Amino acid sequence: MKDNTPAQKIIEAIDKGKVAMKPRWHFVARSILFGVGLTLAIITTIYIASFAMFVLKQTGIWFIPSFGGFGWYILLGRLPWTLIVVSIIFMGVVELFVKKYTLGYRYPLLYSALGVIVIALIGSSIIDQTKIHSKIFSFAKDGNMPIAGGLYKEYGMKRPPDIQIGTIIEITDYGFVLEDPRAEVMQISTSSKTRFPLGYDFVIGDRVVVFGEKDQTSKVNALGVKKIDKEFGPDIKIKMMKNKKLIPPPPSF
Amino acid sequence: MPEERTDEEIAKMVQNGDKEAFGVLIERFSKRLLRYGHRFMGKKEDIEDLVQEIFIKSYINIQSFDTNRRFSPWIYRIAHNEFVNAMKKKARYPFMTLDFDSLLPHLRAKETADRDSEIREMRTAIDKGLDALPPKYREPVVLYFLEEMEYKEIADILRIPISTVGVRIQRAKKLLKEKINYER
Repeated sequence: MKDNTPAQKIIEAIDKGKVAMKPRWHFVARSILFGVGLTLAIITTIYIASFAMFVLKQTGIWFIPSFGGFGWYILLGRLPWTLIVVSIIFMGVVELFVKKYTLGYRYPLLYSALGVIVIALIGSSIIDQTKIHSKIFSFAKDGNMPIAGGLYKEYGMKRPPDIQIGTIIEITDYGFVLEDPRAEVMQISTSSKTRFPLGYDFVIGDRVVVFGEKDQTSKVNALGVKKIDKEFGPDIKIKMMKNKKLIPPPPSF
Repeated sequence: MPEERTDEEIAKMVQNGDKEAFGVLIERFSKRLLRYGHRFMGKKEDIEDLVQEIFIKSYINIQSFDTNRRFSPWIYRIAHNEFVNAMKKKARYPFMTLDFDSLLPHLRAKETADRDSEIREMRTAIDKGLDALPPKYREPVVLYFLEEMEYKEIADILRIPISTVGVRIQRAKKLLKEKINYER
């Protein structure tokens, strides 16, 4: 009765061509596609996370926590949540890919999830250093970005009401005059209550972020002022009083 | 003679087109997979058909087997998927649920040094109480105590962290012992 053993039945099916082996290239191609999918998911995650970081800096929100506890509160309310949620979704996609690899499933989910987050943060910090988003934003402002231009303009040109970012174009007795990326001019008043996390040694041409709400006459009573990197804020012509320094009232204790 | 070769050598022969060599693998694994299926799913199921399907899928996908690794975890992985799918069809296996055992790190329960005596002791308990264990505990217990696989191999078959394998085996042992003590 050897002909009826399961082994014989299966071998017979193989011989008759009812069961056919998939070729090696099928599995090689699948592995390659899988690797490409993982790479694309990582790149997309890093791109979105770095874009979120760029938006935070471009709008000035990034710098607000340095003005103290209230700054942190404002930060939470102003975070680009849509971008953050989309980047978390892509991190999840990366995690799903990673779990198919031995290193991914042999260790707890927490480790691989932390690994994905660390890769996204390091990757977006590196992208941030390349200033690629600033360059794309400049192209978008000039109308030279037909595809992603709208996205950059929508997020990059946003201005929260209590955060002003721009270049000092004039030093005045009460503070300074600021011009923002949309060429809007604001009168910034400083006082003994204004916080200066990096000091108050400002000169014309400095890019600064100002924490304080603008009124209808474009005046801002600054709760905080901080100098920021050159690549953030508008690239505008410096008008006058180039060497005059801002000397605010002494801080009160 | 293929019979004297290792599973991995025979798998390589099959990959190179020796169909008859696949018969040797079937002979070697039939009883083990039947036993695994009966232990995991219970004796009421039509395990023989499922095991036949496992061998067919193994043959179809044998080119994906890396002959530098062990063959048994590879075929047991196919078996695990087949059995779980069969159980899901009958709604006896939980669909995608968040498993906290796999989420967080655990202190790794080491594989026991005196494994033989532990296996002898546990086999009796398994015979009496395996059906009472939830599927997620039943499978590591069967693979560790009855199929005598290592934690790492079980992790590869079930696609769960190695530390989770240890935790589940420890918990299953505790549950089995409690059941036996309760029945006494």
